[in-house]
Amino acid sequence: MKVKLTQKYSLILVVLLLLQFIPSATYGIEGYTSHPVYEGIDNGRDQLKNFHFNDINNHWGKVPIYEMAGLSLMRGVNPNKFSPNSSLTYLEALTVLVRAIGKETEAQRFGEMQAPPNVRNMLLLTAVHNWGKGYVQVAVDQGILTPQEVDEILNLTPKQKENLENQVQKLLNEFQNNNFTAEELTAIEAQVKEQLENTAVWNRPVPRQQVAAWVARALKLQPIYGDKIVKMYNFSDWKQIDTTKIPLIEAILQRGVMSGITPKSFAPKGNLTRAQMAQLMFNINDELLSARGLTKKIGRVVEIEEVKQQSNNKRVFSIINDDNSQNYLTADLTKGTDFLVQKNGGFSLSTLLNVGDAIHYFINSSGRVIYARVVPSTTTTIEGFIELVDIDNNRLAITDFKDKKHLLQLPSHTQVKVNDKQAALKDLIYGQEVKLTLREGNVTLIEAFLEENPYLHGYIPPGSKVKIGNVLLISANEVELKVGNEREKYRILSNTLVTRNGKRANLFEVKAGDRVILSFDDIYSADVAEIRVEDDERHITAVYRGKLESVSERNKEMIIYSVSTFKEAGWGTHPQQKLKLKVEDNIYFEGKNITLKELADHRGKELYVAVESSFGTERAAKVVVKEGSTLLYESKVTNLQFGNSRMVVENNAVFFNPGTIVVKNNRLVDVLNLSNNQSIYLATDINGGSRNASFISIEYDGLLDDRIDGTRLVVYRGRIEAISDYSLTLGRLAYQMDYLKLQNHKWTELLRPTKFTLTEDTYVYDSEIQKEIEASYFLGSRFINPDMIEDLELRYRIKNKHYVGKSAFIIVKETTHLGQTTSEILGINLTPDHFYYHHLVNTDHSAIAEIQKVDLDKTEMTLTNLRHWNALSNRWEAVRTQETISMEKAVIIVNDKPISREEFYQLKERAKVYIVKTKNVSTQDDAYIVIVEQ
Amino acid sequence: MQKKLIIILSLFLILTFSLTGFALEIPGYEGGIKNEMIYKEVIFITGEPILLTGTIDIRSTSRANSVTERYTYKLENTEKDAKLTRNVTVVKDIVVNKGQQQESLSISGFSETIEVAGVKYVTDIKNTQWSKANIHEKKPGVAYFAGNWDGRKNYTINKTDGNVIVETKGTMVGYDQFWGSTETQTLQHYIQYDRRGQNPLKWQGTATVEAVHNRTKDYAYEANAPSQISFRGGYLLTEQQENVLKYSYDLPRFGDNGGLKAQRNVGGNSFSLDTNPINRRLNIPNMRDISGHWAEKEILLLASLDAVYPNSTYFGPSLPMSRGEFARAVAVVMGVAMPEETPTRQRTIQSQQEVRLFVDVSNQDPNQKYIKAVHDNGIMMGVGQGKFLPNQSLTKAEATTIIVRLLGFENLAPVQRYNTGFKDDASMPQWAKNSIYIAKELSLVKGTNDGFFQPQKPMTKAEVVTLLTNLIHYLQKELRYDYRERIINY
Repeated sequence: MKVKLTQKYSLILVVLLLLQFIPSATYGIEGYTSHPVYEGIDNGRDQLKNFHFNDINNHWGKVPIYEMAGLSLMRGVNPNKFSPNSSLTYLEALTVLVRAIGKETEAQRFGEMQAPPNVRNMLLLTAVHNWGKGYVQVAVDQGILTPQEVDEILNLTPKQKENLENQVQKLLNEFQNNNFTAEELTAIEAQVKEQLENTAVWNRPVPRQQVAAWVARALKLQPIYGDKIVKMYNFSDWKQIDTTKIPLIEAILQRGVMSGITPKSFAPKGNLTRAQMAQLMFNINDELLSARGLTKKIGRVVEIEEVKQQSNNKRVFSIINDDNSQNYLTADLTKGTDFLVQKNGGFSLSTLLNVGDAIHYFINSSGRVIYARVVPSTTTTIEGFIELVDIDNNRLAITDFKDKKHLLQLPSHTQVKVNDKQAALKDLIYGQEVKLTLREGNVTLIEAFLEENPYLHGYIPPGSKVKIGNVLLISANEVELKVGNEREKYRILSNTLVTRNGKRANLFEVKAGDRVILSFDDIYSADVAEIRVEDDERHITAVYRGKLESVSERNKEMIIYSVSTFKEAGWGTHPQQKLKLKVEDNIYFEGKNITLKELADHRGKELYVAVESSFGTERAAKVVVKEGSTLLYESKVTNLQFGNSRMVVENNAVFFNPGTIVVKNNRLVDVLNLSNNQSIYLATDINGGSRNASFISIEYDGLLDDRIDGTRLVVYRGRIEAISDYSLTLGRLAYQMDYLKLQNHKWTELLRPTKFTLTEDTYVYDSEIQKEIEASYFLGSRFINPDMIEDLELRYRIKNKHYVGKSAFIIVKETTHLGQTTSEILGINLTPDHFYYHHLVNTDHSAIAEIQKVDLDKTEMTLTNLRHWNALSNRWEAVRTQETISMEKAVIIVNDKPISREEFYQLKERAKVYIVKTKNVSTQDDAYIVIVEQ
Repeated sequence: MQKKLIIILSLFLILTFSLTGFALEIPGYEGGIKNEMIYKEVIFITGEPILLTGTIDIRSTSRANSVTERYTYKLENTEKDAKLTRNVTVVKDIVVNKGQQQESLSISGFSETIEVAGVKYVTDIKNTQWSKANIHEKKPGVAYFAGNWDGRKNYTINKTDGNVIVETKGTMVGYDQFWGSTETQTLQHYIQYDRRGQNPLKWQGTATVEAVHNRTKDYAYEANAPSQISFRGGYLLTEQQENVLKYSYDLPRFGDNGGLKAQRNVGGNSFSLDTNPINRRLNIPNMRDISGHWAEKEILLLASLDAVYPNSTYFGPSLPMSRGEFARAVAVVMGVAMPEETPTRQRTIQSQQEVRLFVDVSNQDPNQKYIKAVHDNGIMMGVGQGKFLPNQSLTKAEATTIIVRLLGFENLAPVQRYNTGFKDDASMPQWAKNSIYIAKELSLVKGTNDGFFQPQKPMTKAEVVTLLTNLIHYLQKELRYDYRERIINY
């Protein structure tokens, strides 16, 4: 089972290899490929006709016999007969050996030279006879056959001699009648004698010991003497072996290419069958290949193609060799060029080969493939642990699971894999578990394994997977990004970190339009580990309206003139006459994205440009080409229909499109951020009978409660009924006057007193005497020793429980967690001096604005883009001038944290503020509550 | 003067940045930026940020494994009546080890004089300590580097009126490749001011300065106005430096009498200095079969760059691209193509002709020099057995692996077994999986609309060209965002 699996595995490997290296269309033809191409031999098809043996079908020696045939080492006695069981003769044995050492041509030439001239065209001595002499001669020359042996062989017994004489005489008698001259007769006599001598002498069966000795000499084996002679003595009949042959036969035995007829008997004088000779030659074949100029290769057929080249049909076999090199074998079906193939007992031409066959094949010195044998694939595996890796000498030592050591010399082409990934020998480590795959005894594949912790599959260092994009929409548990042109959603969890300016921040500080980097701890999860928010470097710093003068496509710039800037809900003139802006993409005309080149066609037309200032350079973040006459509205959105891209503003249907510039909170946002009842500033153009929005500025008033994380800030105005440990009760302001809560930007009355949580971090400020009170004094005012308070006025007030029963503003943060709402007080602005009647006519009102400037010396801030809440029309009314307000009485909350008076310098320009302020007697308003997002 | 400066600068570059091919001109080490004409730097020593403008002169001499750089600063701010002169000699010792370069820098000479509104702040080599260490790693297509430094300067106030100690911690990170280079320096200063004498004054402040030097190559299509001209338009390659300085500070507030006031002075600013772009017109390819093709722009760009054969009438956008052609395209896109061999070296070339890098790439192969270039740079390795298979088509998995290898990111993939998220994940070759994951994360490659990656599919020329254009875009913009905005804007 296991072997099968490995086979299957190696098959997969082969297939993988194929996919990797084999082109879909190969040209396995010389000149078309970089790999070697070996053609079959020219007369391949005719060659086969010599080997239609019908007498070896069930013979044990079929494989070596066909091998001999394929390599032209042995022929049959005729094309249909091999006579496997007939005894091998002296001449046959010598012929085979001479061929095997590549001297056949030489032998035949010898025979040719020595051949006597024919008498009257009578063929007495055939080539076989003449060549036979040549083979003997060459065998002597090559030291296979010794002269002594020749003498011995030629040394006939007297009886044999007599027989021979008789036969010669008999034959000669037949010629006598044919009017030959005496000379001719002498020649004939010599030839007949030679023919008979040959038959009689060289065609006698050859003893086993003789062949063994010849083979030993052909292989140039060193004779073995003395105590090195071991194998010989296993045979009881060793004494029968000729003394001179013993050392040679010992060498042959030790080489393992020949054995006895039984374990005990060598039968030195016995005969060898032709099949046994074939087997013997098969055993020693590899060692003599180079003598014949042959190369043996081992490989696998991976693909067979039929190719037509110049009207010749060719069959092309792609071979991957065991050393991973690749080459092609071709057969020309038209010309008959082919090679012999032995497969599963069959013997034919290349037609026998199939894809997947493992073959041994032989290339001759002229680069032709002559023969191939399909072998059963032998793949074995060794599994164990690495003991030693010797990179310099390409060696590997393994201890297998049975504690057996294996020392392996690695072929240079051995593939190494670690956990299925391509690796090199140097990547193997001592002690590592490995599996070696050996094909034909050679290590072809080393698979090493490194321990894998299943919990670490797909592990990345936490946070190392990142996604960069613009926030399209964000809620408490989901963020939708625009990445390139695609929208992607990710999940926000309660433990998702938010970082802004390198500091931890609240989730609500992530706004639509922000550019963020999301990081993930896991490659599969959509749960965001951290959201990092880009700072205001890329915020929209201005919206311009101006006419296009020129566009430089190459420098990605444009110049606009007659520029006005959107501010204080109107358009003010820009100080520069001509303005150069960087511009790249995000350019729209009639709702469609256009290129810079197309923008150039709109020279002279008016544009709306949302500008970001990145690193001091103004860059157009979005450009809309205005078409038609403009209408400006400052109003509320009603009847918003995203499906129809339509909304109603002041009873006019207004259409928006992807080109509409929507700015909210200094960020460029998607139209999806519009919602009903929103206060907006709208620039729309009448074009083709409809109103199309070019520019929408959404008022950002969500500082208190339009928060994605579910928290909210609530401002109350009431009378402090009681202060106890970590709690404060707020009650009605006065007789017949309930305490108030700021809801939808106006004060609403509440009936019942409510308890809120006071904390050590609550910021307490007495705005009447403009003094901060340490939270602990205020908290435990019943218990502490008021004498510890240094400030006399404050000491007096604490001592007398001055604040109980007095009015105050309080800012409460409501957090809902698991259905329970906590109301913690962030700040208290004590206003004990206020007379109740002040509040019968409510002079407190809400405003939203942007900080223009903070004057720390005068403790005042200048506001721009100021909006007052109009409680009658329920919308924000723009104040078209800047306004400076006093911060002397204010409690300031920045990003949900109260800041002390000493920390006012932390307020940043362009920060968004929500202000509760009171008309002061003088012109300047007093801010009581300032809530800042920055 | 300017010319001289440029020559010196370029000499300095050649000498010092042998490892990194396309280095930037980094103006000194103090966190300033410059363009062709001016140098800018912000100082905080007086308790308020003062932007100084002027010139910097850099001279460099190099010996084996050691470079000496001399910086001379002459800066001023007339509005604030501030002047600065500074002379610094920095010695850099270089150790090169396995494609990495370690540099250790120290100062052998230092003097600095700042004069603001009549007050002189002076420091010299005895009162200044400074040490910096850099590491560079060269990947096939990109060289990355990072460094850290620590320094302390002790200035005297009007010689005897006390002193100011400025401690600075600096980090530096950057990359360098054909389409752009960025170096981002972050310096954090801690300033202790101690004036003694008649009007003693003590204050502490902090400031962060981030200086980014960036060079980016960009391309633009320039159309011709006349319609009767043999070519409709062509690409223009521009190279420009965009240097950015961003700083923030937390300093005391001073009253009119020079004494400290309540609250603090916090703030920040940023500005940039660009160089004038250097332009180069590219070839005009004349191909008849790409008009209207979905990848026409990309093909035209790469053909203009000579990355794909520009001189043929036919391109065959839907045909597969061979490995040899891909080698050429990658070599050109990454700027690693070897210059043409000069005829004077003909003899040596002939003697080398027998030696082939790959047995199947002849020296007459038009792509031979590109194949050699990508091989020498470790971008493409060949398929083993000394073969390159230049005439074989390239699969998507192979192309992806090559792209990720040249960025040097293959080790950033998750460990062990994981799913790349494509439906055919199981059929992905193991050797390509890490690269496919990374390339997908960087949006360099995409799967099919129905979520398959098709790793074994041969890529068409149009697909390869799109992939390489994505790579160019990544090298120009995305990498810069990661090294600039991600560091200084988040």
